[in-house]
Amino acid sequence: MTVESSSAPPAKRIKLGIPKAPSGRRIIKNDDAPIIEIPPHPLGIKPSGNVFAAPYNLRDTPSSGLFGRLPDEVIIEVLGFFDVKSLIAIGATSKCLYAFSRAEELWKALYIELTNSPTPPPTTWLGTWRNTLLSLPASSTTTIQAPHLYSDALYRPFFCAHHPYSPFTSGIPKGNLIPRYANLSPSEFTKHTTRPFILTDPITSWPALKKWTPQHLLEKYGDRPFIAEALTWPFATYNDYTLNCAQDESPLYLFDKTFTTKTAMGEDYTVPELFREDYFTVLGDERPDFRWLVLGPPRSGSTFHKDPNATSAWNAVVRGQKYWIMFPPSTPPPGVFVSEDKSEVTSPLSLMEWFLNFHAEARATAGCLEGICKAGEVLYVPSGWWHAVVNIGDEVGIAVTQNFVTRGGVAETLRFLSEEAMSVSGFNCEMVKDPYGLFRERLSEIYPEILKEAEEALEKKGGKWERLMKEKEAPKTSGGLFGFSNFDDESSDEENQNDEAAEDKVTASGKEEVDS
Amino acid sequence: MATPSTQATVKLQSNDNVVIEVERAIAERSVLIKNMLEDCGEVTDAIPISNVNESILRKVIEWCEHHKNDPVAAENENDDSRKKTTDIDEWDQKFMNVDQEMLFEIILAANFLDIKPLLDTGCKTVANMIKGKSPEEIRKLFNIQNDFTPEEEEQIRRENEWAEDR
Repeated sequence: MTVESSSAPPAKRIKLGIPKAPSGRRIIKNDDAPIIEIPPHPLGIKPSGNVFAAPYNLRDTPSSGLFGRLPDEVIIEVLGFFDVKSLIAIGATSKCLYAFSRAEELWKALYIELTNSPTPPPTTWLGTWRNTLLSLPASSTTTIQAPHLYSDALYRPFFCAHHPYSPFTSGIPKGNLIPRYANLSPSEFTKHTTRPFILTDPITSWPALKKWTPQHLLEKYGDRPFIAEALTWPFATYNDYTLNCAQDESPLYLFDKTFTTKTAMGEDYTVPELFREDYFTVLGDERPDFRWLVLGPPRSGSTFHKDPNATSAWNAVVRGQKYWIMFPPSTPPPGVFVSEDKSEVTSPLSLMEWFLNFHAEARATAGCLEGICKAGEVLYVPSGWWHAVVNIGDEVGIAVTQNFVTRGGVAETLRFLSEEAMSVSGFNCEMVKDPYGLFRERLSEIYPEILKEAEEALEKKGGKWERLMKEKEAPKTSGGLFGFSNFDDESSDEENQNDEAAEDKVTASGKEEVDS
Repeated sequence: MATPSTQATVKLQSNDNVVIEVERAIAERSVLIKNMLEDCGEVTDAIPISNVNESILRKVIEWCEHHKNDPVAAENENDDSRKKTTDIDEWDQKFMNVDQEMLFEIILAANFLDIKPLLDTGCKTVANMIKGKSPEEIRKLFNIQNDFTPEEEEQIRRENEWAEDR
């Protein structure tokens, strides 16, 4: 595996060290972990490394034509500009290009692109993005073998889709375990606000625990549209997807911020008492997006990110279980790159790629915390903490999450809204032109002493804050100091969707990578 | 971090050992060269561009010259939006009006030198060439050898019938 040494994000996907095996089932043996078996690729594609024991590589024969001049990744890039008909046509030219034209990332991108066209794609899920887009039943799908095609670019997504998470989520070292408590009192919480923890008691009486099953949601809301990353699908379509998406490297993750208005699900849970103190309530309807229904099949999850606007969050698991891996605010996890102005977080890898390449290093890094949050438990994410999450086990995961501002967090959110204005997200930008100004004003009306406390804390920290405050004291110019071009998070949702570069990219600003 | 260099030109050496002197701003359309210059400061020796021959290098430089004043795209531009359109401006269309061999060499060089807009233009050109063509026409365009058995071809034909109305 090669990783660029500079601090800049790697321009290219990191090469995956896929172990070689003679043929057929790929067997990976770790020292004491159970044996992992990866089935053979349906088209017979093998990892690049296997070419050394092979007579030739199909991509270097006339089967690829001029495309053979290009590296595999660039062939996929070129094909990424093709429309449906062109992709079908080139797949009918030769075995090599047939195999390239089947890359699911191409069909997923086309599907998403077509959702906004005059001819939106079908919403009957047929097991793969290609089949779904073409309304092609699995039984009528060809699987023509591409013997002697050795390509990491084509094999990697398949490998990632079939590699289990269990080797990573088990055997958590004691020192890394996220602390677990039955519950905490408010005074205990003030001592714990800067460290993650799991509570096992507060949500056990939620009606949601009994009511929320995929079947229940299907019966009540099957035809209602829900947002899953860049797609808005009727719940019934998404439900079919969760039952038959084993081919997807990064399964689509439903996180919907309007579930309380379009369903009655808001009646089935209450905010745990401990997390009710929330200073963003001073904004009323003008507060940024703050609660999401989070639903996803096993292996779905979020790559590393921080939560928006320096808020804290709680994440309550209603069904299934989630593995969490977390790092303190000042410790970017291995394999994650933060731009100089902190506005951009780049992790060029899919979730599984990150685990394969960086999990071992992360686990050994000081500050790393890990834990499994089961149904009926709630996890607390302190402001600024890095986290990645994956749904594990066999069940579809259902959770609800809310972001909030603790008393101790008011200072940091004020600082974030003003200093990192470009990363502010989730506000309705029609309604709120100056999130910082609005939050400060409302605090000064309702909780003047808390505002005073927060600004004193920031003054103590000094630095850029002090300079900003001095500028603020100067006569105000219209338009103000800060730009908010970036706080409509709908636009950034799309970034998740491009497999090659953006799917794995997380903006610190967006809640598109919702916790769970 | 090296001190910023003020040199006005850089020398680029093709893999067939021809040295071409280029205005620095033009050469820096290549992110590879830009990063190299930032890391190394003053570079007086010719920079070897090991994957690119003279004629392709001159072609790429011609493109960079024409586009030297283009705004630099945001680093994390939205990948999807750039793929939504296969429109190419007139000058680029003429520039890309080359034989297929050269087109693929330009794509290869743009990828190696990390000149994203040129790579995109190359990809779009290929996409536009293929639009509306039959598999047989595509094979001829790009020297692709049909290695399907007749049975496989029949299977694919039947599968594609499903997709025809899309």
